[in-house]
Amino acid sequence: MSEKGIANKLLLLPSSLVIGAFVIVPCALVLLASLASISDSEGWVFALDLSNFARFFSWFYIERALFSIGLCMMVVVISLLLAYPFAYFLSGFSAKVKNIWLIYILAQLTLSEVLIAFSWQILLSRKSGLSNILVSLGLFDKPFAMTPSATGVLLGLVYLVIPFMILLLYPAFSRMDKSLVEAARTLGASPLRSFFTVVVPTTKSAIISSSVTVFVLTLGAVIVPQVLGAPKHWTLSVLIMDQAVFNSNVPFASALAVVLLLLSGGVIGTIFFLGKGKTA
Amino acid sequence: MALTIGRRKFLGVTAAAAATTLAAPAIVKAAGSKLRIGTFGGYFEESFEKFIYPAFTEKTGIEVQSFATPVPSVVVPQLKTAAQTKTAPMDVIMFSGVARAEGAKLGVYKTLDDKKIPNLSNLPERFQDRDAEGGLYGVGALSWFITLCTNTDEIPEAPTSWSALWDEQYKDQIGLLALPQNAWMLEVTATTFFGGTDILSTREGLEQVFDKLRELVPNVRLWYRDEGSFQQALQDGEIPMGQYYHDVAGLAAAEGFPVRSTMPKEGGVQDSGYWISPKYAEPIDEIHEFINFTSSPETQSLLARSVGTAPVVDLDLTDLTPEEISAVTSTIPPITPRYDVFVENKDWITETWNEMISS
Amino acid sequence: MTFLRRIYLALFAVYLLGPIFVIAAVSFNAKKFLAFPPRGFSFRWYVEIFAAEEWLTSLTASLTIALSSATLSVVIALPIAYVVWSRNLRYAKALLSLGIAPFILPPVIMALAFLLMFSSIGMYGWAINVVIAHAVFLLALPLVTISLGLESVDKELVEASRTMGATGWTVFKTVIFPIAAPFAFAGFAFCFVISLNEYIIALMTVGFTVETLPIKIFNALRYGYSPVIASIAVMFLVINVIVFSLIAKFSNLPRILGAQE
Repeated sequence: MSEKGIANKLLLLPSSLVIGAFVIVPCALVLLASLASISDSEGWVFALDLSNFARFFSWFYIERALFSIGLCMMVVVISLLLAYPFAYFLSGFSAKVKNIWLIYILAQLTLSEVLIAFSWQILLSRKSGLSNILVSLGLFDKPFAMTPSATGVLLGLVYLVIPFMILLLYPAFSRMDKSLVEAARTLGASPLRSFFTVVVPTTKSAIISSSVTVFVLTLGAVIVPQVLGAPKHWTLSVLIMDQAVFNSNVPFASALAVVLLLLSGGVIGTIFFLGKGKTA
Repeated sequence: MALTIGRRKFLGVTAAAAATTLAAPAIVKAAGSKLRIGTFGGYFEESFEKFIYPAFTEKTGIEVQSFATPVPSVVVPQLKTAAQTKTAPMDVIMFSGVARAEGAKLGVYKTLDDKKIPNLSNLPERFQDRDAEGGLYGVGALSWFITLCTNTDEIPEAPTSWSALWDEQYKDQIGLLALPQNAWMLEVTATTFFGGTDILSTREGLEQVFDKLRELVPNVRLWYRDEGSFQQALQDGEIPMGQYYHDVAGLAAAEGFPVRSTMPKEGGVQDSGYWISPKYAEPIDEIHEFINFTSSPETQSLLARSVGTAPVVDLDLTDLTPEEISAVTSTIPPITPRYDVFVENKDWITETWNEMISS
Repeated sequence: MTFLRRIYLALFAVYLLGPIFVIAAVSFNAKKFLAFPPRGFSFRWYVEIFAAEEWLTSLTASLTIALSSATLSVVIALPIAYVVWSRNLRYAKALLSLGIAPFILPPVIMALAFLLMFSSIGMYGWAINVVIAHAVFLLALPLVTISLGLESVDKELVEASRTMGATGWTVFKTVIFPIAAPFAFAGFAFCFVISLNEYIIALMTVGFTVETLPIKIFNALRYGYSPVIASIAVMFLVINVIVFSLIAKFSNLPRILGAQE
């Protein structure tokens, strides 16, 4: 047995090294760098400098952070409302139809954020965009551009995350005992009523986990806010990239990254806590 | 079209490099006997490989190993590490204005020998970078212009001054670059309304200029990061006016789009790339030879024709025709970016700028 | 109710597929316009992907990176998932959580972390950086799929073959591997497609020396819009569909996604 123990440890050695060197060390570096000082002659040096965090606490960055959170929450709510019924119906489809849908949804899910952002830019443009369809329907007099705008950012982000929402909700529906719904119906509950009293509660944990995932995913989006939004729609992630790539201020980029990490962690924690509290 | 790509790509701050294979690091290390020259990647590097390096090799017999450099914000720390170990990752590198000044503060460049660059006299002083002791460390390589561009269908009469951007009739109709370090709108504002860029030397002056600049914010419909989206909007007339690249707008016009570039009476913004050499680069003679070569009027003409860049030497010295000259530059004295001001106040300017554009 | 359901499903399908349809239409424009409906019809923007050397170089670089990082990721994940399943070691479980973490964090954080890591050890711009970075970033995918696969291996069967004298390796080869392999393949395929489509980590690790396809697309768009972008989007979607169809064919797609059939 102990020989096996050693064998197992040996088996894990290469993976441990990789995870140590390329997960733990880089993350530790971000933490360290967030406390580094900028120096004229050295670029930046490790120190115990809180000024990078102090810089975050100005109205500009706090507003950016609040905006990012608000935007992510809206995206979560909209995509949940859109995807939830679909995930429910999906679990009832025949195996073949289901597979076709799953393949398509996965294909859209993996599509690069760059491509989605620019596709939506075409869709929202004046010359070749959706507004032309609205004009031909007689709703507007002449076509108009819908970017840059908050609506544009929302549309793009929801489209980006909706496959995730569907795929995270759908397993819960597939496990759900459909006879419960039928029982509720036989007992005289209306379809809507049985939906809210039986279906929604049994999928609660899936709703929570998919909402959290989509929230963090949206928080990490960098291209869509840049391409479809005006500067006032740029999120914390965009600012982090700017600081790291264009301003070569790695310490401040790291501090912003730590803030982003705390925000994601905080939201994940809160949602799980609330979810647990309610079940208890 | 190729030219279009090349010039925009050169913008440097955001330029990404040509695709290299997995063997890239091996190439860089094995360069050895050749002069290793780094430029911003993509089409730009390709044009240098195609037109400039062969001409240099033919003239001097010195072979060139070309490669694409990362953005300066990545290269500068790298040069610092190299300097500590007394090595040089490459021999000559083209830098944007801002990165050049940042690296100079770290002292990671080689001080060049004026005497070994006879052609230096062709270059105006602003294309010769010197440290406090007068030591030469950066030499202008090429430049480009940002001008006032308009859609000819929407605005039949071309505006003549940058002040048109402030005109209230263009509310929510103009497009400007979104990054302060390639838009240079502080310089434009200072020149248009405060008689020159001297006012930018003090924080007070900067604040005054920012106040003036803030007045045009209601006019801005698009703060663009990707030039493509602005060009598209300008061509469609969706955004009838904004700042854009002179030669690229010219090419779009030549392709039949209703676009024109106007060199405002205050001058266009002339941004430039500079050659620098890492402190411990060894082939000293070859390095000087190369910089001397690109500082010659012939090479500058070749660059203007093949890459579409504006010469850094006096125009009288070149053999460019008037048409060729107006395609890349102008005789109106340009607005020159204050790289020093940006580097000195980087965090403050970035923050104030970001607050301004996101209000 | 059925009527409402149909309308909802139809609208939802239009919402998901509509944009793709418009992009596909734009990609067939005959002229260099992003016009919808398209003016004229031509395949030239598809030809350009393969004819223009710059696009082909990026495509090759991206494919190489995606294949290498997906392989590496599976190789790292396999022992962890295996030991968690067979021994349930606390250490292995900790590794499993650590391996999943990067995928859950906003990618820009990991991108910054990798940038710091590689630049501080002097490996700037090496193509291998993005292979490692993607392998680590996407480690969660093979970890999860392989764990799922192992769960469906009958432990009693393993015990039985052990008592009959089979060595660990033989058991692995004859009992465990055949069942777990499709799931490992699924993990590989997921890594492959996501690596192929990933932008921000690639940009911050090698973005200035290697132009992967998403970086190339972003750069190309900066320099002027051309229908070639639309054709590339369509091509990517087709690649993605093919990969996932293969997974669906060779293993159980709903099960991999955690559904119960």
